[in-house]
This record gives sequence, structure tokens and C-alpha cells, in this order.
Amino acid sequence: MKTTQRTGFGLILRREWRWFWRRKVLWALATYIPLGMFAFLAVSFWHGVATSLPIAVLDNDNTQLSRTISTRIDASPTVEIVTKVYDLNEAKRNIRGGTVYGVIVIPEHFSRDIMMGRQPEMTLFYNTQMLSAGNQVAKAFQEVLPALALEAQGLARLSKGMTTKQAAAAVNPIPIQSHALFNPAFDYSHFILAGIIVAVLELTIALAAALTIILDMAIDPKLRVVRRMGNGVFQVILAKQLIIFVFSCLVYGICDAIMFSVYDLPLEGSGGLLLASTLLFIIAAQLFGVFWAVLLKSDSALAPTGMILAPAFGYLGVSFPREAMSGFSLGFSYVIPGKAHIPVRFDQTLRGAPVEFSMPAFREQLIYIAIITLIIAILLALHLRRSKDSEEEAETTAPAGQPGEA
Amino acid sequence: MFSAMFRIMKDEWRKIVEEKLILAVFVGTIILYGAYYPQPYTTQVLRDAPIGVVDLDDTSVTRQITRDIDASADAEVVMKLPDVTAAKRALFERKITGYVYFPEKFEERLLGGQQSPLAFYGDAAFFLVYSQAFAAVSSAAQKTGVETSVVRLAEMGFGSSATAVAAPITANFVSVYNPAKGYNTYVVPAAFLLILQQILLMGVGFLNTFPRQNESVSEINAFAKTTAKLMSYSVPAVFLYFMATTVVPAVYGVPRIGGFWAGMLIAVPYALSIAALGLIFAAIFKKPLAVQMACNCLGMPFFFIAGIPYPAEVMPDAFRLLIKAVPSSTGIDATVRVNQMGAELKDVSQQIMILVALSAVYYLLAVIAIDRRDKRRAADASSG
Repeated sequence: MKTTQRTGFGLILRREWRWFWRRKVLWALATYIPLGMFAFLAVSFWHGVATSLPIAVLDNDNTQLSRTISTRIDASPTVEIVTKVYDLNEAKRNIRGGTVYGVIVIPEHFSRDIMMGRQPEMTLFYNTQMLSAGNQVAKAFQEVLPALALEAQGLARLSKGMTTKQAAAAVNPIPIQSHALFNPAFDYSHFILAGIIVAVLELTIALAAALTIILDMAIDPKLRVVRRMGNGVFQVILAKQLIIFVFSCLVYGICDAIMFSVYDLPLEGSGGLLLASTLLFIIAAQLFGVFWAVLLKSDSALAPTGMILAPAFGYLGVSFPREAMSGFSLGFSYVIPGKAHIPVRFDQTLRGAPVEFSMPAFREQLIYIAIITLIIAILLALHLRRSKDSEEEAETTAPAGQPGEA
Repeated sequence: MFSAMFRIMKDEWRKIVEEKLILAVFVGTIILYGAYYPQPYTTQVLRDAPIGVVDLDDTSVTRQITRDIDASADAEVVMKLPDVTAAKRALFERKITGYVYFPEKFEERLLGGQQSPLAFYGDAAFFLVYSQAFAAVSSAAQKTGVETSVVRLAEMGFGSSATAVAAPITANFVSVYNPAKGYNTYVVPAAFLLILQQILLMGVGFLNTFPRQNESVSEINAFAKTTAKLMSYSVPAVFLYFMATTVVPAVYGVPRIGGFWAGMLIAVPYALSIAALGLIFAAIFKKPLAVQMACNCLGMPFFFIAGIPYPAEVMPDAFRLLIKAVPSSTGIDATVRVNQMGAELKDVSQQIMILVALSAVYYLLAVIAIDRRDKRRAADASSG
């Protein structure tokens, strides 16, 4: 029988590797759960761009011109006239019931009023309780308006012998060349899905990072056995986190490979900086989980980790601009591990910003890691000092002749 | 049998009160989420999207358009920039969300009767901010454009029909049900119906995976047992529903126009299908830790597929059909329509039918799960 045991980082790393595969929830969290979540969401963004959003038309004029106008609107790729309604009540019912996102009303005597120069008013009722879809409908209608005006103007200008060019200049003297920078197609997958990856991964990574520590602490609160194997608590945590880190990198790599190849997410900036920021993000998410594990030392650490990160998407500033957030949200967002990664990610993929513009956020990532590491070190030092005191106390009260730990 | 069922119900209620963790899940979580989740959106909208102006013409017309943009509630001109390079820089630094570019000879072309385009470059990262800034620029350009056109057409002899030619129609945009386009009004009702689902799933999952102290009521069949359990969960469900649809929205000033009873008619099959699904979760995941992880991780995907954060039209048709198996996919839509948009029950009858069907299917599956578990336990007991 061996009397001396090897200790050190290699030993603890091998032990953790074996245990990683035995702990089903842990490896699920580090591997197929985030991949499954991403796959599920990725499928839900399959079309990327919202097209053929259903709308209705209430044509109170029912003339050749009003029908042409309806056809023009229907030709917009964003919306599709799926039904005709015959009064405002029916329009309201269709919006309320979800058949359509909006209703376009062409007033009575529309053609006659145009001829008489009365500027008849077309109205779009659009549902902003479903804000995203409602706004898309409004934008589509706004974009098609100059064409509608030109169509409508035909009646009035014909009698004056205007040329088409003159007519276009009259009806739309200042055309706006709009350039939707960084996401010209308004592709939801390029912004929302690319941001959701960060939200999904920070949750699963932090939970896995916390769980891998808690599973040992639940049996051995002072981590005596593994500390002895690893020759110190630092080696233990490093070994545990190294495994989570490797799998997290793989998972993030697979998700981004799909984003770049299947969803055509552009890589306009520096791939090197994007990679560095991604690695820092993974470390930051792990440290967030480690913090709660070291602070609470039991299963209960998973509750704050999950509760803070599961609904944290809003704090990342992906769906709602940071400029509009309240003071509390802006302040609290600094706690979220993915907050500083998001601007670097978007800068270096979609925005194609020169590296210098991403550096403040990148530095913030480094500062986050430095601060949380320091807090964890202090917590661990306090915990181990207490455990050392109690060990010594146990030794002094132990019967004489008991060998102390070497 | 009824006394046995009542005993099961009392047993479940006792566990809710005595197990601190379960009580914390049912009561504490919704309060914490209520305080935490809506915070980023409390300002509701971004007033005055910051934009820049690159004015190479610098004439009275371009200055007027700039002033009109600045005067709108949607945008604010925060900087005048010498050239496109400076504008791009400001955009990268996130000091502006877009910029307007007036080319040289803008005014000359306009007054000369030609089309005189201006360019708007906007950061399309935030669709809402982009459309807001675009609307401000568009209406300012339209206003000056029509004024110029009318004057010129009058000079050309169009007389009273000048306006009809320059602006033959007008357009009126009426946003309904959330007229101020508030982000909290849009997100909070949906998000809290999802949070209700996740809490109920987790709570029911915990109740049925925690080590049993005295679950010895085997004299009744799985149907009665499942029914008793589901009836007992109506108490936390009513509390959660009240918090999610009344208290939290009221705290954040989210209007509710729907009737109470119409809301309840959706709430019953919604809560029933979730609670039954919670029993199935317990049978699948078996341990509280796995239940907790599943509920934590499923929340986000379930929220995004509810058709609120982005239109359901982005999803493939088959996927849209498949996700109807998740109660929130239908429950959120139906409840928001009734509570926030004042829809009548007949408007959402299809959604209610789906929820009732889900309740029936999950109820049967829960009965099977509980039956199998009881038989396994009986076998263990006899062999042990």
C-alpha cells in the first residue's frame, strides 16, 4: 500500500475531469444545455427579417385609385394585406384578436378629394402593444408613402401637363436616402440573436462555475480533501474552472461558427480583439458564479446566480438602448458579466469599428475580472482562515497522540 | 376518496408553508423579479435620440430643417460635424445614433425645382431608436419640402391646386393600445406571465421532487391524486397571477383595460397546463437541482418565442406550431390581448382552445407520471 500520495494541480485536474463526466447536471450545463438553448433560439430567428406582417385595409372609397394604392402597399415586402375589413369595429377586432398588426383606412371620396385638392387623409392604426411588429408596419407604410403620393397626384397633375420628373420633384422635393448602418436589412438575428448568445452563455457558464464548486462544498464545506489533493485552494478552483472554461470556449465557438456561417453575421472588425473579449467574457461569467459559490457555500448559491442572470438580458443594452436606461439599471449593469463584452462584440462584428473604439469596453472587462477576483480571494482567505482556526481548535481538543496534518 | 384528496391538498399546502425554499420560490421570487426585471425599461422610451448634422450647404433651408429636427420630441441635434469622418467617429463612440448629411448645393437644387436629396445615416442596432430618428428627419424634410414645392407650383400657375400636387394626400399614424410606445408597457405584461410560468413550474417541480416525509396516501388512484395536487396549486397560482397581472403592472404604471373575468377564463387553463407540466417536469428531472436548472435555463428561450420581443413571422411555420406546446406561447398572447388590449373572449377563442387542449394533455401525462411513480414506490417498498 502506498504511504505517500502525489498532490498538486495535475492530480486535482484529473480528478475534476473524471468527476465532471459523472456529474450529469454539471456537464449538461457546460455542454448541451447552452447548445440546446442556442439551437432552439436560432431556429426561432430562422427568417431573420420580418416579412409579410399581416395588415388589413378598410377601403371606404373603393375606386380604381384606392385599389391601386392598396396594391402598392401590399407590394412592400414587410407587410401583406391579408384581409379587407368593412368598418372600424371589424378593424379593431382584427387587431385585438391578432389577425393583423395594423389597419390602413382609405377615407370615403378619397379620389374625388384628391381631384379637388382637399388632401384626403389616410390613416394607419398600428398595434404598439406588439411594439416591434407594430413599428415595422408603420415604417413600411412611411416608406411607401411617396409612391402613394405620386400615384394619387397623377389625377391632379395630368390636367396641368407636368412631366413625370417635375411631378416627382413636386411631391417629394427632398427625398431621404436612408442608410440603416450596421444592419441594413433590419435582421433580428444579427442583433437580438447575437446578443442572446451572450445572455444564454453568461447564465449557463456562471451556473456551471458555481455548481462545480458547490458540489464539493456540499459534502466537504472546507474543501479539505480537494485542497489537500491540489496542494491549495487556488489550484482546486483553477482546475475546476479550467474544465468549465474549455467547454465554454467550445460552446461559444460552435454558436459563433453558426452565427457567421448560417446567419451570415459579418465580421467587419478585428477577429483578434473579438476572440480576446470573448475569452474575458467567459472568465468573467465563471468568476460571477465562483463569487456566489464562495460566498454562500451551498446549493443556495445557484439561486442568486440564476435569478440575477436569467432575466438580465435587458441590462445588457441589446434590446433597449443604454442611453434610455434609469440610473439604477445603468449602475447595476456593471455587475452583469456580459455587459462590457456586448459593445466589443457588436463593434467588431457588425459595426466594423476600429479597435480603439472598443478599448474602453475591453478595459472594463479587465477591470471587472480584477475586481471580482480580488473579492473572491478575500472571501476565500476569510473562509479558510476561519476553517484553519476551527481545525486548530479541533486539534487542540483532540486526544493526545493524534498526528497533525503535514 | 374525497377526504384522501383533501389530505393530499393539505399536505401540499403544509409543504409550501413549511419548506422555506418552496415558500421563497412562490412568494419571494415574484417580488424580487418585480423589483429587478423591469428596471432597465422604467423610462419607457428614449426621448430625443441624439443625432448629428453634417451640413456642407449651410444655408437657411438646411438650418431650418436642422432646427425642425431638433424641435421634434423624437430627436435632438447634439452636434454639428465638419465632415463624414467626424460623424462616423461620433457614431462609433456612441455619442450619436445617426447623422443627417446635407450635400453642397442642396438649397440651390431645391429652389431650382429639382429633387434635392439629403442622406440619413442611422445606427440600426436599435430598431426603435432608428425608426424614431428617421421619423424626425423625415417629417422635418417633408415639412420644408412641401412648403418649397407649394410656393414654386404657385409660381408655375397651379394656383389653388398647388397643395394638391405637392401633397395630394396626408398620412396619419395612430398607434393603438400602447399609444406612448412605452417599452415597459410592451414588455412587462408579457414578461411577468412568463415569470409566473417559470415560478409555478419550479415550485410544483420542487414540491414533487423534495424528499417525501409522509406521502403514504396510496389508497386513491393516480387520477384523484393528480387532481388533488393540481387543485392545491391553484392557491399559489392565484397569488402569482394576481401579482403578475395586477400588482407588478400597476407599480410600473402599465395600463390594464381588460375585464377581470375574461382574464380569469384564460388564467385557469393557463395555470392548469403549467401546473400539470410542473408535475411532468418533476417526473422527468427527478431532483430539485435539475428542476431548478431546467426552469432557469428555459425561461429565456420561452420568453423570446412568445412573439412579443420580435414578430412571430420571423420564425419558421413548423416551429410556430411546435412551440404551441409551451403554455406561455399561447397564454401570454391571449392574456395580453385581454388585459392590455381589452379583447373579448371570442377574439381569443382559438388561444383558449389551445390552452384547454394543453391542460387536458398535460393532465393525462401527469396522471401517467404519478401512477408510474406510485407503482415504482410500491415495488421498492415491497422489495425493501
